[in-house]
Amino acid sequence: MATPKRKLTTAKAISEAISQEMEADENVFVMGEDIAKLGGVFGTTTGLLDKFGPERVRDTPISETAFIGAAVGAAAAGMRPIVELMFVDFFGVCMDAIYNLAAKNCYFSGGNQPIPMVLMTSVGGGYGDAGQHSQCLYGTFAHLPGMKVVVPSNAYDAKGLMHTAVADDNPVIFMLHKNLQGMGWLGTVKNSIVDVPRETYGVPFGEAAIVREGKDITLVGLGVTVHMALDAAEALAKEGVEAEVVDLRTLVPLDRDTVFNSVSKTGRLLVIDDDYISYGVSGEIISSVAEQDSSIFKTSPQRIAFPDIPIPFTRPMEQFALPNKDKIFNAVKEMMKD
Amino acid sequence: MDIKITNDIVEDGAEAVIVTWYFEDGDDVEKDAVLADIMIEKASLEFPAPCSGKLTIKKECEVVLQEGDIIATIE
Repeated sequence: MATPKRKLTTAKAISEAISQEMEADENVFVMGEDIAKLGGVFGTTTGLLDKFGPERVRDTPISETAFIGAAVGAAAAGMRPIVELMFVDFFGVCMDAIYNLAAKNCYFSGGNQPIPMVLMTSVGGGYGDAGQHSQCLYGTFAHLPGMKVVVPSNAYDAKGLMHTAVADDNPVIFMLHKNLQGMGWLGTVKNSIVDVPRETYGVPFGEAAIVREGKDITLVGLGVTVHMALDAAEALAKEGVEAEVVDLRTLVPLDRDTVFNSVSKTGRLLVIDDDYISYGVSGEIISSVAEQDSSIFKTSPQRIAFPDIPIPFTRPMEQFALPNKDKIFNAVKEMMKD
Repeated sequence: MDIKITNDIVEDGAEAVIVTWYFEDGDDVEKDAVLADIMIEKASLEFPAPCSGKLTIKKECEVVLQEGDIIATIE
């Protein structure tokens, strides 16, 4: 008989990875708002308090300024903190600790004082939580040097990337999309719930995954937009268009080679990003291909991303602004005319 | 065997929904494997398989459930 399946949601995969890291290294600990008794509002730290106790699984007051600053200090002193910023939207009050301290201490100390912390945070909207709880801000964090930035699209990658993140001596911003966590009311994408090995394993940083092969066009996504691209690719296949889908998995480091090689094959590039369109990931992907060799394009590269407006509260307006399968399908049909 | 929503899951006439099925219709499941996550108000709980066998799903995710509803069978 085959090994029994064991599917996990992304949140459960993350809590399992953290638990295994805490078992393996007593310097690993977790801090954040509602992460201990409640198990995290998205379930990413469920069960850890019972297993490891309040010394290593610490509920904090609602002051990101204080507890993320404390995490940077703990990391500088040799601990390996995993700290949760519940919603990335609240980065404002703790950004000095993140980008002036965590991201730069290693450089300023000539490599003598690395900051091995993981900042875990939730991103994304689509469930009517308005402009202060729905942003992705991928580009904001990926733009600033000194931090690694991780955006998993499924439970298998999430666990493996978390193991790699905790082992890394650099600060890692671990961005978990709310549509992929496994909470019903956040609109969980079914295909993010996949078989996950019980044992520890690493998914390397800087290696994008080709999650569907195709010869006609390259669709590049991250987090939830990977699933939109896969759904569109399935619909396109029925009309004879074979789309290749690339899951970036990490933004820093960014696997430019996999994207370039895919576009070299297909000649067409469409980037799908639910972060704001200007000055962000979608522009970076397109320029990293274009500056290497623009002659490979059969048609102008395109992008579908969130318009440069605060995220609306009302469902119809938010859904109108977000990327989706139909927008991708229609854009590809247009691009295939060239 | 019928898999039912019992009154220790939904107290006082509360409603529940299945958030996640961890298996497909027709899968073989083992006793105690987590079959599904069920949400009651904002609390989520795991629903383990009471026995081993072939799973037939009767209620999909997001359908509102009440006490006595059969969500699946295991034969």
